[in-house]
Amino acid sequence: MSGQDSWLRAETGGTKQASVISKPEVLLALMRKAKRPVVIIGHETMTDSLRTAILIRLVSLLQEKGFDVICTSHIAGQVISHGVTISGSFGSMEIIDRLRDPSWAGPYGKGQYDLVFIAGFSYSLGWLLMSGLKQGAPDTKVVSLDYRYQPHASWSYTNMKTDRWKEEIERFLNLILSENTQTKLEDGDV
Amino acid sequence: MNRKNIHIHLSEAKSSDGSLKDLEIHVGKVKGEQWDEKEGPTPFPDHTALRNWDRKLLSRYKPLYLPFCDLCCLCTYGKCDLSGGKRGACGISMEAQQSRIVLLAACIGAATHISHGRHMVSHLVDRMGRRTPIDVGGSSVDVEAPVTRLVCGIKPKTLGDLEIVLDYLESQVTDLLAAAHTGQESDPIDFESKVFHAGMLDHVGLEIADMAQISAFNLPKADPEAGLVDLGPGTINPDKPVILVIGHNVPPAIDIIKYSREHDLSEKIEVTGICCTAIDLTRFDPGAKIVGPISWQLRYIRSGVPDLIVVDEQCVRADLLIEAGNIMAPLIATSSKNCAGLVDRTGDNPDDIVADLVSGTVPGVLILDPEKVGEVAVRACIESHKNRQAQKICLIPSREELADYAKRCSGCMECARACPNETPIPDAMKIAATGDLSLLSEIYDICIGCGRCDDACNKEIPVHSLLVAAARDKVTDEKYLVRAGRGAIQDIEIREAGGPIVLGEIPGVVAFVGCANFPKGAFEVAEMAREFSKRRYISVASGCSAMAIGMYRNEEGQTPYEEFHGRFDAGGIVNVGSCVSNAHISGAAIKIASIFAKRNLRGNYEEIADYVHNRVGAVGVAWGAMSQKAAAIAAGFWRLGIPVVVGPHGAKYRRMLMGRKDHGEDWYVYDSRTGEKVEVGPVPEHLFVTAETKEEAMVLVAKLCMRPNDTSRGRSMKLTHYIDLHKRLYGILPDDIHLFIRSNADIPITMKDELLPIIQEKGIKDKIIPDPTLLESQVRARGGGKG
Repeated sequence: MSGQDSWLRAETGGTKQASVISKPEVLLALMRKAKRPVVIIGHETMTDSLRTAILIRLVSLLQEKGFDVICTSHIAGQVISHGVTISGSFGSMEIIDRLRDPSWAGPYGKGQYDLVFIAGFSYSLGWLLMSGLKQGAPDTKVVSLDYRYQPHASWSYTNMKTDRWKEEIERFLNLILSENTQTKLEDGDV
Repeated sequence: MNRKNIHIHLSEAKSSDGSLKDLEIHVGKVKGEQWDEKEGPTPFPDHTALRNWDRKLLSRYKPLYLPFCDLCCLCTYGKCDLSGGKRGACGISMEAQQSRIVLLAACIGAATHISHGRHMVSHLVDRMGRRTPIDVGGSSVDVEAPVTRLVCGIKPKTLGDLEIVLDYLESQVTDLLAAAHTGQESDPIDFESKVFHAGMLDHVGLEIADMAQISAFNLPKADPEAGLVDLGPGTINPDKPVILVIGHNVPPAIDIIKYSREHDLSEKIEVTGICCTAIDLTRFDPGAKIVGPISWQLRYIRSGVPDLIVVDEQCVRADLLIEAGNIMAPLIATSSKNCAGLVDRTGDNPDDIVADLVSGTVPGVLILDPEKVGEVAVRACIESHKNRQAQKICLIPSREELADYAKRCSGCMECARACPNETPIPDAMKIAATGDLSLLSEIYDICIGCGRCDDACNKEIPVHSLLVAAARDKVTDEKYLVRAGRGAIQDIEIREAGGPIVLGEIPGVVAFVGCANFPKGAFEVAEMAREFSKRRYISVASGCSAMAIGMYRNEEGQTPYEEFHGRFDAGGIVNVGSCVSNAHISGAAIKIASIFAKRNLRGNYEEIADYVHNRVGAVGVAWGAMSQKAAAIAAGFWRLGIPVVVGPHGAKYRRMLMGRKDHGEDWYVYDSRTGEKVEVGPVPEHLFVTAETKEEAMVLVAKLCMRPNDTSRGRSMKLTHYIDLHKRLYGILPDDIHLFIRSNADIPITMKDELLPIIQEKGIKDKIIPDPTLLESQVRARGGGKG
């Protein structure tokens, strides 16, 4: 599978395409720079059994690191049952609509998010959601954490099989866990 | 066209024989023009006449744009990069460009329905004359054309009257299309207003087409007891000669039935159909059979069952001539809009055409005379059946062939990278190669039949055919019943249900409409409709969604059309008919304003739309919306202020209309009794929104049925359903309950203990229930002062 191709062959992004996440340090650097990060998880987080466990672990850890967690569709109860505290349950269009509004202060009134991690969406819906953000919130960093390349994100994993993707997410998880002691970003990572 | 609209006005004429004063002569005017209802402000509105109303809606429901890509590629200045706030060479912004694309889609959709209506009316006028009366429900329907009355301000009585309405529609769509040209409209909100206009015109076009065919072909006339008809490939006897009709414009298919009746062949052939032509054909002849929705084209043709295929217009696959050729079935194209590259044989002797089709001299023909299609299709089908029976043509592989094909698969993933539903075809192939067909069979259930997998395959595996082969037993078992499209809603039904709907005591009207681009299979539509009808909502259905509802059996083996009644009343599942019958759904909402609330319809769009938006708890669900027509149909509902929910593929329309419940200032109305501005909460919250899952859609629908006018009893019932569904499907209480509770009387009695602490925490103050309107003019009209 090739790297910076859209997963659905017929989809073409445009002039500005997502940078590929070649190593998890990139994500960590984005996290460090962010003032208000959020992770948005779609329904496939819970309905795609291959992804559920690892995404829930990741979301839980991101939450510990200061991310708000927002889920879309009907999965709020299931996510909570996994021990995750959610900051809100929105329709996918509703949350994109709010993220493009500079005056939206988030669920807690603390201010608009500047870093958005996205996972758990079907490819074509994720494509459009990220396009909405790219056009409507151009200053917001958007990271696609799913295993298909999403050109409309700022950063995206490349097209991968789920096993390899899980390895990548594990690397990211391990990096977050060890960030205080081991990680050193190289210049130009972000 | 041999018709003219002439208006002569002589102020004064004198001759040796006498004098005339103020003589007016009209030729080509509507017969019922002596209608005594007061004319409203906007008969035959142009595309700016309702702009203020549109802007009111659009200031509350703001467009959210989701472009496919960064570019505009509509002219030779381009491609232009519109990302990051850049403008194109013509000066257009990304927002305007996206709304322009939506306008183009809505114009294509509206033009298609209007053109459909024009062809239908012209055909029927030619056959039956202009004076043929319109009759959509006999004495049960006095308000026979609610959409046309509302928009055009006329009361059509005859087929000839409809031509005048069509003239108006055609000129308006032309204007709208012109606005999309480079260097015309520049403002996204004005584009959106034009989208609404296209939608409104679309519903008039729908109404014209269905009124004409109901009247002329004697289709069910507002009949809640319309009979049950067969649905599904399993209902078809392949041992008989089988004709397959596909499309939307039914006259050729009706002439097939007529020819077979006249020649005593009805019992000897099977007339089957896909998409709306099938629905309309079963409205004419309950003996005809519906194969399934639009997405059943490839699977049914490749089964080899059809001996001859007749296509008319709309949603017909562009590769059907090839597919038909592959099973050696002749194809007859019957519409000037879909000539399929075939030679026009309309003027030829039927004997010659039949001979050429049966011998294979030609793969198909174009015949633009429906009556001739009737004869040629039946005769050629019978002969073709004899030839094809001898050759046993079926493109669905046997189990052994399937395994061989599957072994060819290299796992390159190209099919997966073409599949819109992201089905795991390569995994399914891998295990199919070992003889396990279970995964392929599962994929069949959610396959939308697009066939992109076939084209993507480098190993020339007919992937789609393999899915059908793996699900062979399921296909054979697809034997269902659907209620024939009943057409309009009776006035008496509106009289009886209108009050409970407006007061909120029937919790809502949920219209399941649109195509079959379903994310997880057709059964989801049936599940949603059953859920709402069990909850005493009124479920209404049309087109492929009406079929999808029928393709389901409950534990007792009943289809939803057997399980639920067909009346427009609480707990019903009401199949109005085909795509063009969608006008009866918007028409029902309009008729509530007219029949129940006694509001004038005549050219009075804004007031009636305001009434519907604030009082009629109706929601459209286009779970598999695919086409531009579906976009136009949705737009017609938007202008009436009726929200529409689409499935995840519907996001590809690239624009939502989103309310913001956290913006309290957006949710005020006037109380027309006093003129005061009253906060009513986010009801309905959105005008056009995508749901990711069926579960989300169901909760959204329950929420979007709330209206400012709900009585406390009505609101309490609606909240019961919203909260109950939310708790069951989301697993938690909704976090916005307080926005919908105006006083303690709104709180569902069975949920008081649970909800009161929430309400108390939020410190809700009692709000009055207004006589709601967004229009200052309604305050003045109804005697209130200005707030």
